[in-house]
Amino acid sequence: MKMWRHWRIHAGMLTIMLPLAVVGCGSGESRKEIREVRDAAAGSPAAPVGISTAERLGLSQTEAHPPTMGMMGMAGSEAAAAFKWTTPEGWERAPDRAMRLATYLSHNGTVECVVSLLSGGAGGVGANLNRWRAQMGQPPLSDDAIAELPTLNILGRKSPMIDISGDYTGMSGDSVPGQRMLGAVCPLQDQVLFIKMVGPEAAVAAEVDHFRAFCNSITPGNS
Amino acid sequence: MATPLKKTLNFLASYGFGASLLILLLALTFLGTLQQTQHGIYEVQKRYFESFVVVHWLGPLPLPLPGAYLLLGLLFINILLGGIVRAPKSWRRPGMLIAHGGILFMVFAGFVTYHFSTNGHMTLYEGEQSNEYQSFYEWEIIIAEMDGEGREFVIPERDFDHLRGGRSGVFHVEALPFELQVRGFQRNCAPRAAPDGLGGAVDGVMLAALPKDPTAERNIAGAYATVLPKGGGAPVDGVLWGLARAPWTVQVGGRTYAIDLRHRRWRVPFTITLDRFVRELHPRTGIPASFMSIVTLTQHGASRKVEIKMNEPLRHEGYTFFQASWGPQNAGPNTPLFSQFAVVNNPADQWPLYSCIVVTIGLLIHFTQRLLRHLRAEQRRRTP
Repeated sequence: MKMWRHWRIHAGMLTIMLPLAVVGCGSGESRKEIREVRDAAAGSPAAPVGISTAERLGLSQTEAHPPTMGMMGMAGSEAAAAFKWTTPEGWERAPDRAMRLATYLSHNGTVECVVSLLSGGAGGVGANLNRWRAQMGQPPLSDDAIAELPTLNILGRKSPMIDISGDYTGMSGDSVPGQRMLGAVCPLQDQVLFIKMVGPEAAVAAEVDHFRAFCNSITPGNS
Repeated sequence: MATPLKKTLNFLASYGFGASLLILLLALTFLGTLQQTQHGIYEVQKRYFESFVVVHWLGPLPLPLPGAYLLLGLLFINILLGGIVRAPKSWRRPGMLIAHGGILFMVFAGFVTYHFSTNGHMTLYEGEQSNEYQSFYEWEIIIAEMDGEGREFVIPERDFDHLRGGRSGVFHVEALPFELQVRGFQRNCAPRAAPDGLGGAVDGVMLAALPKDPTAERNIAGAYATVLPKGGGAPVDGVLWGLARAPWTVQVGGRTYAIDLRHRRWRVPFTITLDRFVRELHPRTGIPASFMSIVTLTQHGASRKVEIKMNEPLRHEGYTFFQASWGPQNAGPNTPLFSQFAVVNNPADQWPLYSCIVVTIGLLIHFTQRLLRHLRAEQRRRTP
């Protein structure tokens, strides 16, 4: 038969593919020796003994042990101290994440409210509001339309607020239908403060008053 | 009649094969660049440019393509065979040989950089010092002796990156009285309170998978681990997470060990102390006009002051320290500042420059010879 004329090629390919398939499908337990050993770095902090897993991973509210210095968290925690706010009932603080001052979750974690601060103009208020609109699949607003948006009083400044319903496309690139976004942008002297809430439409509807109260409660950290 | 070996060599050295490789590299660069908008530079670099094979999705259709690692390997062979081994070697045309040699050196520099370089950051507040830098993306699990000789046993990410789903791995070393089983590694996850009765949760805590963030340094890895005492004691379960407030501590054989998942770290054979960080902002903005760090480099008891500025890195013992960032971004006049250096250790650091010089010399020789030949031919033509 014609196809068997090239039996050497078939045999060669099988020789390559079979071990790959065996390795690729393996799901057992491997064993490996640790070969890299080094002295502890000078000044390494002592690890606290006897704290619970929840405390260690930041799920507990105790502040007995300060957070370890994350790569970006260092700047974030410093920046977070620059503001104070009142946390609405039913909101739970999520572990700190890079580039965010704070993350709150409500409605069993389906609604997320993020506070972040960027230095400089951060591209402009209008550009950021339109970026949020794009995340909800909405066309951009003109400068005139942005000027007519309702405002919140955050840190004594008029801060435009948006309220958009649609399909939300976040950082993962996946589109989630039936979402609603509340967002406020507060331009400060050298920075811009962002507060954004996203979640299922019905759940966010129940949080509108909380969102407004939260934004209004933000004050300077040294006040 | 040509033997199969000769046929293969002819094919590998051919212009057609070289042109096909370059076209595929061009296509890969184009597709990879487009993918960066969705998946971020780190992920795309891994999938498209550091791989043997990549599956690119054209809508719902999968398009398998050779990865850039494979293509560059084949290009090296193509240039070596076609441009050096099989090229006619004569003093009449040394330029082409030199230029091809330079290109080969460039591809080889990429190979050395990929396999042997490390890069990360060292972040210091004014007055702080350090002799190690840490990766932006890679992770490691360390087991540290808290009351022993102060050693750290390091498991690099490449050894546990595959321990996902049902896979687990056991890590052992003679000096430790236990083995460490690692499983359920996730590139981006967060700890959550586990629902009652959830299998796999530890102390009521589970690691919830999060979508990968396109900005790779924002992904926080996590894994489950179990300490298996060699003497046959009861196993101890734990959760490792990249942003944990403290390492997981266990006591085995009357001694305490700290186990932690953290960004990969590397030592430098000297110490850097940040003496002062100086920044200048554009008037009435938070945008820096310039910033620099004044550091003290200490090695073998000798110290010297060095200024590290943007575009003026510190190069020492194969390590390069670039002024990368600073903070806190909202710092007031009396707020302590930190400076962040991007640190690169690359044996092939300057090789692309050398290869460009070699290629330039080769092309200069080649085109000068061509020009002279042309002028001589013109002269002969005009001479009656």
